[in-house]
Amino acid sequence: MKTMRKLSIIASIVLVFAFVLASCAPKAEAAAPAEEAAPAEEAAPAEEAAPAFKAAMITDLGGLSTSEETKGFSDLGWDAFKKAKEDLGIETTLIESKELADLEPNLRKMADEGYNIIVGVGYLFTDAIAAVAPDYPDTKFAIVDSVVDSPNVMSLTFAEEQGSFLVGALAAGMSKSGTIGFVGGMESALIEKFEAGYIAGARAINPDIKVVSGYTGSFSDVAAGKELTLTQYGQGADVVYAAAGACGLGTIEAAKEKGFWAIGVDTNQDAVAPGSVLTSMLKHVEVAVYDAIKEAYDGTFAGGVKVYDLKVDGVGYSDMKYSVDKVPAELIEKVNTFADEIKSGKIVVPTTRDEANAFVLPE
Amino acid sequence: MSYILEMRGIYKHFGEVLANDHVDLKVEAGTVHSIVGENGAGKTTLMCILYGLYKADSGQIFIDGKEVDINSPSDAIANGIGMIHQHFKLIPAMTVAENVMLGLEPRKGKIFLDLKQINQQTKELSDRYGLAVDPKALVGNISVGIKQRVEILKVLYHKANIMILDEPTALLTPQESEDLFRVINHLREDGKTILFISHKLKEIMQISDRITVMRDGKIVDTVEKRDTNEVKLARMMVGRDVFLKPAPAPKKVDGAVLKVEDVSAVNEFHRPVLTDVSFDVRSGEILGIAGIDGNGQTELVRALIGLQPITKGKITLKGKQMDHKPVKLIRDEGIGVVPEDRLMEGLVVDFNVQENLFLGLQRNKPFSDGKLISWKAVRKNADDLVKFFDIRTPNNEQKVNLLSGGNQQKIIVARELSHNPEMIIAAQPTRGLDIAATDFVHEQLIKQRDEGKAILLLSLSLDEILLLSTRIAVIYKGSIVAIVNKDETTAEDLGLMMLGGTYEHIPA
Amino acid sequence: MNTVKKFLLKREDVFSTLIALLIAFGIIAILLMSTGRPAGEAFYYFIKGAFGNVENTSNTISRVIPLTIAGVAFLIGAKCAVFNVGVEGQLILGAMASAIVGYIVHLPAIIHLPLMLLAGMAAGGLYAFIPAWLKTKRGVNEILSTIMLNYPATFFTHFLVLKVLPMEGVVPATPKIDATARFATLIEGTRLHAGFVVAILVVVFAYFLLNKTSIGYEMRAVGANKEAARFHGIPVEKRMITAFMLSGALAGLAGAVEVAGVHYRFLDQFSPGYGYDSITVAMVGLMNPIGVVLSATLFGALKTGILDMSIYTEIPRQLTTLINGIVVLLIASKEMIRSSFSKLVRGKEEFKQEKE
Repeated sequence: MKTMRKLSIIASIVLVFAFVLASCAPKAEAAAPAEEAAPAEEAAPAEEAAPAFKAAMITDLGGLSTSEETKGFSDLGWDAFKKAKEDLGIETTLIESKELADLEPNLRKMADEGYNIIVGVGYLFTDAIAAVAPDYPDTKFAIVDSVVDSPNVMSLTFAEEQGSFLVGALAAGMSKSGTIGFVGGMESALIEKFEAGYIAGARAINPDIKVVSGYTGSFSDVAAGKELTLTQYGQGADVVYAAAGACGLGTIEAAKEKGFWAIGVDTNQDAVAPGSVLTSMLKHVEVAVYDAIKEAYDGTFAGGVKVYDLKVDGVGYSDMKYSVDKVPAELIEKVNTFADEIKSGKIVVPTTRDEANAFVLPE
Repeated sequence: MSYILEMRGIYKHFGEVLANDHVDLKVEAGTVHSIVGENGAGKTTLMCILYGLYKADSGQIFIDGKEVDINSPSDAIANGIGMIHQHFKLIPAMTVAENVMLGLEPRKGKIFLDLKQINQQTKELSDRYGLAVDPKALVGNISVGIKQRVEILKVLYHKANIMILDEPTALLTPQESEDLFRVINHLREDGKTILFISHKLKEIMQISDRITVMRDGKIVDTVEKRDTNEVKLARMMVGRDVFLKPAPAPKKVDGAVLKVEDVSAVNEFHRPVLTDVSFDVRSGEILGIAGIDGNGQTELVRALIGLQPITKGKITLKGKQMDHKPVKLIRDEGIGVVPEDRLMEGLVVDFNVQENLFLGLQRNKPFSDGKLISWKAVRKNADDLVKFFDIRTPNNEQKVNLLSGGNQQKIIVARELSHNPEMIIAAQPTRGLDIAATDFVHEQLIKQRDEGKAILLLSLSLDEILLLSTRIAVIYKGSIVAIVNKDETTAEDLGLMMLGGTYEHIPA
Repeated sequence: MNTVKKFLLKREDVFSTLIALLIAFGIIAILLMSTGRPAGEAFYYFIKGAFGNVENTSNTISRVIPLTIAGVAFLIGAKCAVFNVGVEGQLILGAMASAIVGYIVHLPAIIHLPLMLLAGMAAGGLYAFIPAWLKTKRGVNEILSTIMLNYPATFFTHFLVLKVLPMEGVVPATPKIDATARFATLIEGTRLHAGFVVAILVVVFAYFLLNKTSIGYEMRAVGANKEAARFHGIPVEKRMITAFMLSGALAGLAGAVEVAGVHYRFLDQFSPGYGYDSITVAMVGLMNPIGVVLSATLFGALKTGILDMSIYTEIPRQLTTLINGIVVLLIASKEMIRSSFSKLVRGKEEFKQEKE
C-alpha cells in the first residue's frame, strides 16, 4: 500500500510537469501559418541549381529485398525507377525507411532537396504524405495503395480483388479436395480485398468450395507463413494463396515439400519453385509508378486517384510458364471469360469477406 | 650447516606494490620452518615464487646448494617441492587413492588404470607417514581434515622433500589441528622439510623449529623458536605492541538485555536448524557461542534480527518482544550486527565508503527525514567515523570493494557501533583479518562491553572465544548443549562438546 | 603521472566506452576505405545528417526523446535488480492507453494532455505489475516473463486496432487524438515537440530519486546486494515491485509521449523496438541517468545520420545496417576493452593480482 501511495506521489509530480507543458500547446497552431512560407522559398533555389529531373522513391518498413527470388512489392516500384532512369535519363534516389516515425522526415528531406516527384510505396505513407504535400505545392507526390486527397498527390490504387478473383477461380478449378487455403499477412482492409476476391473467384467455379483463411500477423516471417500453410494443408487444402509479403515464401516452400499448389502474389513468383507454384497474382506496381514518373516528367501530372484494375492491365495473373500444361484448357478459358466479364462490369468483385462469402456468379 | 633451500634477493613488485623486497631465506633440511606475517606481508607471494606460480623480477633459488630455475609448478615438483594449498584441489567424485595418484597413475599396459596398485601404493604411503586414510573412500564424503591428509599424500607421492603448507589449520577444528601437527612431526622425523605459513602465533610456537617473520615485503628476522614467544613475534609482525592477552574480567555485569527462550526454527526444506535454543546476554558481558561451522550459528543470528522465521519460542530485547517483527524495527530497537559474511551481508561493495557507513540507517536521523537524504550529514558521519576508527581509504567516495578486508570490517564495526546499540551481535568478526585488524576488533568489543553493552560473539575460532568471552555457550546441531563460565572450562572440553562428544579420534 | 592515472581509472567506464566508440568508427572507416569509398565524406554526411541543420537536429532530438525515456525506464529497474526486458510491451500498451484517452475524452489541453500521459503511465505500470508479482511472490525470472509478456501486448493492441476500435482509412491505427492532447511542435516542419521537456524531467526525476531520496538509496542497495539490503532491514521485495512498476510506468510514458508528440494516434507496430533499444541505451549510458541522455543522443544520431549518409554517398544500404551493428557490438564488448585499458594503465601484474 505504501508503494502505491508513493507511486501516486510520483505520478502527481509528473502530472504537474505535464500541466506546464500543456499550457504551451496552443501556441503551436499560431506558429504554423508563419512557418508555411519557408519550404516554398527553399524549394525554388533547389530547382535552379538542379535543372535535371529528379525522382525519389521511399519505401515503408519493408525495404527492398536482397535477392531476385524474394522480390516483392517495393522492388517492383524500384524497377519502375530503374526503367525511368534509362528511358528518360532522370536522376533517381532510393530511401529505405527504418521506422514509422521516419516516413515524414524522409519525405520532407527529399522535398527540400528539390526532387520533382517523390513516390511513397505503401499505405503506411498515408499520414505522412497528407501532412507533407500541402507544404510543398511544387513537388509531385505519389502514393501506392492508399488515397491522399491533395492536388499534388497521385494516389495509385489497385483492384487486387479482381486479380485475386482470377487466381481464386484457378485454385478452385485445380483443387481435388474441394478445400483451398488463404494465407494473409497482417490483417488490414487491404489484405481483406485479396481474400474477398479469392473467395469470390473460387465460388464462381465451385459454389461449394471450402476456403480456409488465416493471418500470420507479419509480412516478413517466412516460418510463420510455412507453419500456417502446413496447418491449412492438414485441413485438406491443396491449393494455397498467400498475400503476405515474404511470408508467402513459406507457403511456396510448404507446397514444394508436400507436393501441392501454392499461388504467389505481387510479382511473378512462378520461378521460385517451378512446378509448385500454380500461378501468381500480379500487381503491376511498376506500371503505375512508371506512369506517375512519366507524367510528372512530361508535365501532364494530375493529382487524384488512379485505379489500376484488369481493364488497364494493372492486375492479372502470371503466364504459368511451369504449370500451364497441367491446367485444363477449359479452366483457363473460363478464367479468361471471367476476366472479360469483370472488365465489362458484368461481374462486380466483392472487397469484403462477408460479401465474398455470399457471392453468387451473375447469370 | 648446509641449507636444503636458499632464496636470495627475491624481488617482486605488482604495479606500485612491492610484494617482496630483496628477500633472503635459508631453510635447513629436516626442520619445520614457519613463515609468519600479516596479510599482505608478502609470505604467500614468496611461496608462490618458490612453487613457480609467480616469476620473481630478480633473485635466485638454490636447492641443495645448486641454483635452479623454477618457472612453473611442474619445475617445482621436479625439484622436490610440493605445496598444500589453503583451498584443496581435489576431485570429489574420485576416490582417495585416485586423487593421490592423479596424473601419475600406475597403469596396466599403458592404457588401463591398475586400481589394485593404486590402492595398495596409497595404503603403503599412508602407513609409512602415519596418515590414516581409507584409499577407497570417495573424496566428496570425507572430512576436511582427511582431505588435507590426501593433499599431503599427493605431495608425498610426487616425492617432495620440501613441503609448503599454506595456512593449513584455517579450516580445521582444534582436534584436527592436533592431528595435523602429529603428522608434521612424523614427516620431520622422516627427514622432510616443512615450510609452514600462518599467522596464528600459538600454533607456530607449538610446531616450528625456526621462524621467519615478514612485514611489508621484507624479512624482519629469522629466529629460533626457543629464543622467542608469542608476544615478541606479534610485535615483530605488527611493528608495535598488540593486545593479545585474554580480556580482563568484566567490570560489572547487569541484567539480561537479550533473552532467547526455547527458540526453534526450520529451513526452507523444513529441516530443523534451531531446536529449543535458550540463553540470555547480560549487560556488560560477552557471551561467546562456540561451535563448528554449520551447526546453526548463521540461522541463530538471522533469527535474532528477524530474517529467519522462528516456529517456536520467544525473543525479547530489554523486555520488548522482538520475534515476528520486521528487521528494520528490530535493528532500530538497538541491535548492532557485524555479520559473518562481510561482503554479502555487511557491505554493499559497489557502494562507496560514505554510503556504506549509513547502510540500514538511510531513513534515520540525521541522515534522512524519512524521505530525503541529507548528504551533508552522510559526509560528516563518514568523516568522523573514518577518523575515529582509522579507516584507511583514499577518500570517502572510494568504492569499498577496493579496500582491504581489515578496512572493510572497520567500516562495518564503525557503522554498527555508531548508533550506540545496547546489544551487539558479532558473527565471525575477525575471519580472514590479520593481527592488527583482529586486535582492533577485539579492542572495540571489549570497550563496548565495559561501557555496559551486551555482546554476543559467534566465532569458529576457539582461541578467539576463549580470549574474549565472559561465558561460553556451545552450539551443536542447532541446540545449545552447554553454557559455561570461561574460567571453568578448557579448549579441549569445549572442542569435544562442539563435536557433540562423538569425535572419532583417528590414531596418528 | 599518478593523478592522471587515478583519473583514468576512476572514470574507467567512461573512457572504455569512448575507446569502444573510437574503435567502432575506426573499423567502419577501414571498411569503407577498403571497398574504395571515401570514409571522410561518409562521416561528413553522417554528422550533417544528424546535426547539420535545424531540421536534422530537430529530427535527431525527436528520436532521442523516446530513447531517453525508455532508457531511464530500463535503468530504474536495473538499479534495483529488476531486469525489465518488457519495456517494449509496456511502451506499446502505454501508447495505446494514451491514444484512447486522447481521442475518446474531450477536455481542455491543461487537463487532457496530462491525463493521457498518466493513462500511458498507468497502463505501463500496471502491466509491469504482472512480472513484478511473479518475480517477488513466485520467483519467476523476470527476464523470461517480461519477454513473454511483450507478445500479448503487441497482439492485444493489434486486435484492438483491427477489431474493436474504429479505423479511419487503410492504415491500421486508432482515430487521431484531439489537438488538446498533443504536444506542441516546437519547430514547424520537423518532429521536434514539447515532449522533450518530459524527457528532461524524467532524467532529472531519476537522478533525484536514485541519489537524493531514502527510497532511491534503498533501491540501489537492493540492486547492488540484495542480501545486504535484507540484512539491514530494507524490504527487498517491496522495493523491487516499486522499481518494476516505476520502470513500466516510464515505459508507458515513453509510448504516450510518442503518441502525443509524433503520431497523434496509436499506429499498429509503431515502435521500431524502442523497448529493446532501451536496454542498449541504458547499458551504453553506464546505468546513469545523465549517461542515458548521451547514449540516447548517440543512438538517435545513428538513426538520422545514417540516412543522409546512404542518400548522398554511394554506400550500399546493407553497409548502413552493418555500421549500426558494429557500434552496438563494440560497445557491448566494452568489458574486454576495459580490462585491456586497466592493464595498460595499471601494469600487467598488478591487474593479474587484483583479479585473483
